[in-house]
Amino acid sequence: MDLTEALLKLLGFARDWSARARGFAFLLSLPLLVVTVADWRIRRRR
Amino acid sequence: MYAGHAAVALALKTRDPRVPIAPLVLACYGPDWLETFLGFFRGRSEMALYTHYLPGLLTGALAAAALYTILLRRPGGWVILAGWLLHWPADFFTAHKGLLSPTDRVGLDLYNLPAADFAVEALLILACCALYGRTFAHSRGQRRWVLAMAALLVGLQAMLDSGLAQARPEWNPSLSENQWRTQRIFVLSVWVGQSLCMPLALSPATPSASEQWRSMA
Repeated sequence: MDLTEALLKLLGFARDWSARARGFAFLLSLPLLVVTVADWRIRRRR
Repeated sequence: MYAGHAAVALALKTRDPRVPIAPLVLACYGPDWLETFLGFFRGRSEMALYTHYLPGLLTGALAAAALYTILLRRPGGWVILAGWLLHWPADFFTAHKGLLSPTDRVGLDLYNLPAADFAVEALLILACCALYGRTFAHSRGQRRWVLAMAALLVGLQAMLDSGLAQARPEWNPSLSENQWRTQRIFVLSVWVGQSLCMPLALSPATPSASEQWRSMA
């Protein structure tokens, strides 16, 4: 599989996209979002 | 470990505030992101073995720190390196991770004991948020945001652990490798010794002195 196909899968465009992998990526994104937004707000208030 | 990795990033942020939080959190979850990406090529469960065992972890950490230093041109590459490397000890509590071989894995397997996992990760989150708050949050508004962040992270962890509990897990901690193995130096010396002995063992038999004497008699 080449990089283009992998990127298509990542974006959800490929047919054999693994729902588990997408769910895992979503789970990993949540703490990143929480911490990034909170840190940005805390630093803005300084 | 799930939300605990984000807590580790918050603690590391206090060591060097110049490092932006987003790359730091990405580094702390680095082996998991790498596993997800490489999983598109060979399957995620297989790639997880290679991204999380010690040589793979060290390779990924060095690459991430180099990328951060070269692309962002900022100080604090060692924090990125430390964040990536701390993934292994954090995951040791919750699952089984490889040592020098990807298949021989050790760990306390707390994912299969969800209440204990929640207690450990929640404590880690609260401790790291307190450290972060003491360093960066001086006003009431800032402390409120730290509290909200801690509550959200604990909430995410609770969500994950309640999902794990529904799968009726079986706790299986492991503190030793699957099989005993000799040190690589010893294996190498035995292999060299055997490779030297083999030509001697396979060489055609030469008559001994006693056989020569017998044949002459």
